[in-house]
Amino acid sequence: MSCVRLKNYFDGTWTESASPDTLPVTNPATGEVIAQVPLSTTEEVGRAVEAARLAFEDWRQTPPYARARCMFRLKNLMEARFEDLARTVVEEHGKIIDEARGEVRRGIENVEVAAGVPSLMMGYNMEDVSQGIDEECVYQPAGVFCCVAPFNFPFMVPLWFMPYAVACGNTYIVKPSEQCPMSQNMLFELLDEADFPPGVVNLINGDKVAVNALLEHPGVVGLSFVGSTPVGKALYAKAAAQGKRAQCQSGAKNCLVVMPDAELEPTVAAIMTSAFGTAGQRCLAGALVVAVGAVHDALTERIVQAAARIRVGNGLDERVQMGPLSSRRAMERVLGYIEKGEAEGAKLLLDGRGVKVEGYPRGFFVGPTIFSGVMPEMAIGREEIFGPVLGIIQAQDFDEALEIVNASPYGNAGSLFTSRGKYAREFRYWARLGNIGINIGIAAPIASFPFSGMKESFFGDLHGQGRDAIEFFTDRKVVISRWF
Amino acid sequence: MSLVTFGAILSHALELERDAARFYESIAGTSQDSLAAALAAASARRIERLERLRREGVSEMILEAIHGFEEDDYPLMGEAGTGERPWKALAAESEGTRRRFYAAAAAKMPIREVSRQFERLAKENAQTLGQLGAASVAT
Repeated sequence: MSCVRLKNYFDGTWTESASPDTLPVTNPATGEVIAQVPLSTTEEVGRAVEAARLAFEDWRQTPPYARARCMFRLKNLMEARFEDLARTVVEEHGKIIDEARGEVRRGIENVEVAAGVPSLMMGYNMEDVSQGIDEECVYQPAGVFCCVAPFNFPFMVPLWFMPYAVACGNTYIVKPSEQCPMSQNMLFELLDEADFPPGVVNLINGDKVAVNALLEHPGVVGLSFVGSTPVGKALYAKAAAQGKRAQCQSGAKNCLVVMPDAELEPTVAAIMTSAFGTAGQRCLAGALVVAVGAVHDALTERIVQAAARIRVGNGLDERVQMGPLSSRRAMERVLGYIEKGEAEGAKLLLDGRGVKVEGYPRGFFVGPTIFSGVMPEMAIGREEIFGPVLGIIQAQDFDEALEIVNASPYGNAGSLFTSRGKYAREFRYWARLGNIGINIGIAAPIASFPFSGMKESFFGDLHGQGRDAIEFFTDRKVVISRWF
Repeated sequence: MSLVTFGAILSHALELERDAARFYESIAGTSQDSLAAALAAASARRIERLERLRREGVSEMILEAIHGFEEDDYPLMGEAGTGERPWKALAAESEGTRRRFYAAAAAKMPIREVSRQFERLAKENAQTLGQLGAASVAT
């Protein structure tokens, strides 16, 4: 079947990649190939970096208000194409349309926050640090930055970074997920329409060849990455070895701790969206429920009942509550974990294998799956499954639950469900997690807060979004002056 | 069919409004009735508001399932002809259906701004019913 071959965008121009190598982009609900993505060459990456480098000097001198106006134009274009963007995310990834709308909304919110750059980028100063001597700190853009984006939030994640970088006066290159590049392609159509100067924003499709070329290019100042822990750790080390700054958001195994005093009905509803939203393919997904004390049996029963009611199907159908896995490989990986869970002795309470969706025989569907009797040392208790598989662990008390949470090598997110402020306070104080939810299933920081993470879930110091992004994408220059 | 998601509820709201807009436009076009023309224009504005609400009201943190809300309880006007019944009676039926829909949906939405907009739409439907002089027909 013939389908569109995606192009690169650099120096303000859509350019066909010279590479003969492509990968298919597959709609995971239908199994149809919807595009071919080129695997750009090192030479093409070099041309994109050169375009960004040449654009930098003019762009950094463009007043912040003018740069902010570009963000306003982009925001308006994104609003006008909102539904198209959301549908594209569904077609390339498989998540349901409401989740895709939420993703597009989050992306727009980052553009809105970045449009505040005239305030966000202000420095500070002090007179008379010594007799007749003044000192000031100014924020300056640093050069060319790049982003290596994941498949699970293919539209939103580059927007955790790019708007801030560009608003601060840097120039930027996005390497979209080769699995889900369509919505970034559409975003770049809007960036083109928003009339950013050539070379300020650039798109390079490709795989690890392009990533390595970006990291090894001396013209690139820094990298933002979201993906798995092994890759995040490797890219962070490589960036450091090249003298580049990096922020690498990585894997997760998030716990949802439920206390006996929790309000069960809203708690179970929140657990459903946390564990099975985006078919569990979120770095903020709840992967383990830690049921504390006497709540275990009633909670387990309600979770299974609620999960069994979730309607699985094509995410474009508004009535559907959970879409397919994003690829055949992802589906096989999840099925492998379900087998492993059974083999390890966990009790399979709800089996999502073999789920059939009428009209979509080639889709990568796995239904909600629930294990009880999960132990932290089991593979399904410690490894990131990235699918709709929820494990239930029993803990005797709050302290044991907290130990389970903190024993994980990951530190991305976790939630506590309780009606007691004391537990909430203890959890937020002691849990070694970057993003904490109190009676919230998906602790997703909004654009003006950093998307945090700790331990094996984040490599770096400054995060994406908000103030952290401004700090990451700027150099601080201190000027000490005295006039004779 | 149950409306279990935010998007499903907003989509049905849009279908109801587009249905009403088509009806009022058709009446305004054939009868030159000023009330029908005003209601057609009002429907167009309501559609815009709902589209904005669908873009802006969605929250990734709160996408929990909505229960006990059935599409069949709030039908479209469908192909009902205007010849057999006065258009104001058909209009009152549609306004009443939408008033019930928005009032019920407002109570089920976890996001206050969405509820507030639905309450406003329901109130407008009630006012229109008054204008049509047929509030009792549609309740």
